[in-house]
Amino acid sequence: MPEGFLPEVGRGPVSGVGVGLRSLHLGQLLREDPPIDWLEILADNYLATGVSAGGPAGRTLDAVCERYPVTLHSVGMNLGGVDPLDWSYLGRLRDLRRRTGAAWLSDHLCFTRWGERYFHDLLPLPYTEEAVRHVAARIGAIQNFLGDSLVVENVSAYAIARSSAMSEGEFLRAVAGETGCRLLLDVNNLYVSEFNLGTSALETLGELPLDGIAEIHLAGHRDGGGFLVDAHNDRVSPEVWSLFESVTAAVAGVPVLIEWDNDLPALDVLLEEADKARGLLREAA
Amino acid sequence: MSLADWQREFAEALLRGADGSGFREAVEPGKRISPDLALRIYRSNVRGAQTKALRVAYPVMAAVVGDRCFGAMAREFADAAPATEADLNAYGADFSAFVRKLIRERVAFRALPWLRDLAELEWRLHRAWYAEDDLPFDPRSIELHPDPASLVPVVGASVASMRSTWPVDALWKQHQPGNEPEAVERDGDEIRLVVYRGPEGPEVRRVDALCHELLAACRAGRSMRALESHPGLDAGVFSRMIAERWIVGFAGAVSGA
Repeated sequence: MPEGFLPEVGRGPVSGVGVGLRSLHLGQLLREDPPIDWLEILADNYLATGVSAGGPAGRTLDAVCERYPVTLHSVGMNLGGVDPLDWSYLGRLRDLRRRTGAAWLSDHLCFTRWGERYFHDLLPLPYTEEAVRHVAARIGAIQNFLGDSLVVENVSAYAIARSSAMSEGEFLRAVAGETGCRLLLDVNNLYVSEFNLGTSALETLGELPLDGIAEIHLAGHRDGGGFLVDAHNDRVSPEVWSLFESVTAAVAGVPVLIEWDNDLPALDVLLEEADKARGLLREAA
Repeated sequence: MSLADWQREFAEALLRGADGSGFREAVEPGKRISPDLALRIYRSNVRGAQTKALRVAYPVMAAVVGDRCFGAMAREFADAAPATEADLNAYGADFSAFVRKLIRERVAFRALPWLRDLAELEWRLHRAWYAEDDLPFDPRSIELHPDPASLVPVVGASVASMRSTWPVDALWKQHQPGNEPEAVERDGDEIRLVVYRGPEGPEVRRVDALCHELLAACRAGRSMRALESHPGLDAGVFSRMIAERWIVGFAGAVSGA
């Protein structure tokens, strides 16, 4: 691990049930100091040079990070892409992590770019040995650059490549085994993929190295009319709660996050969801 | 199929108008999602991310033309202008050119000739929010320079100027929280605007011709010696621009004094 690359972590441990930090709730967070275990920051919202260096958004972010333990979640590393890694983007992420004292940085096991086109969507990879080797090399390079292990999330998929030679669970396990990265288990993503594609979420869970899970995401989805869309626009569905309950005992102590991006409600609604998750974790303990 | 081939087929299929046959052949039909439906979902997601970014950058335009109209404009722009940067906050720079084309070519937009200038203003405000911070500067350091007249004033990173024959600044301000939208009268005179990031966020201010020209001259790299001959210039103008943080330093000045 390169010396001097370690971030200045130390604003409290990330544990329990947190919520995603959204600009709509910033004012309330800073005014009322509601009791929230931790916050996940969408890194891409704070990567512009001015914001990462200062400005009103940067100052607000600093104030939040002084009060709550935080993690960073990004969407643009393009871990599975075949284009070269974007070291400028990664450098800004590293700077932001130093600034926020985030306990870890996470991104998705997918591709987001082809040549000069950026899709800003999480596009699935074929589950092949070639993809494992390719992704593992890129994650290894990023971890060396960051000086820490990365946390990698499973994505919801609407398509599976015919060329896939293994299951999603086997793919995630292989990548984690090759790189030492930890996993972010998004339970809603597992359920959306199961509903749409007919994969088995429980089988995937059985294939994952549960002791390598660093974080769990819970979110809502939208009914697209015969299929589900991973829209993060609603409360966690009963099916996703049920799937979560199936792993609570095995992932005791792993931080959980309520993720909500669209049709964002009042912060209190997110805190109600967090309380529900906390209750289920207590029951399993 | 190799990883690169999968990504190429996927990427090409996401282009609006592509037939996507390579993608369909590469995808296993899902329990509830056919390859056709999968392609529609992914296309919708990509376009949705871009249109959402446009709504963030152009909120007043969306309010003025209405949600439905703005949605249609954003979708048409997104289809024609794929994102070319990882940072979605940088997406939409060419939206004002697209709006100008709409005004020229679509009857429904001819009654809204000021819409392009509103887009220009909103983009400058959007970028001001994300502009790099300026380094602290002590104006007294100029006194230590052996030839202060050779120094070039540096314009703040968030500062941008524009001109318009429409009161788009008044329109923008009326759509800020706490203000009531009402009819904005046009008096026909050209206005000059400076956009900058204040302590609480982006702001817009009307300025006179002298201030506007000086900012342009500073951006063009004119030295203090060259600017001294500018008609109407006095020391007070620069003092005010420094106090506003529109001028944030002088190139070549001794720092840390």
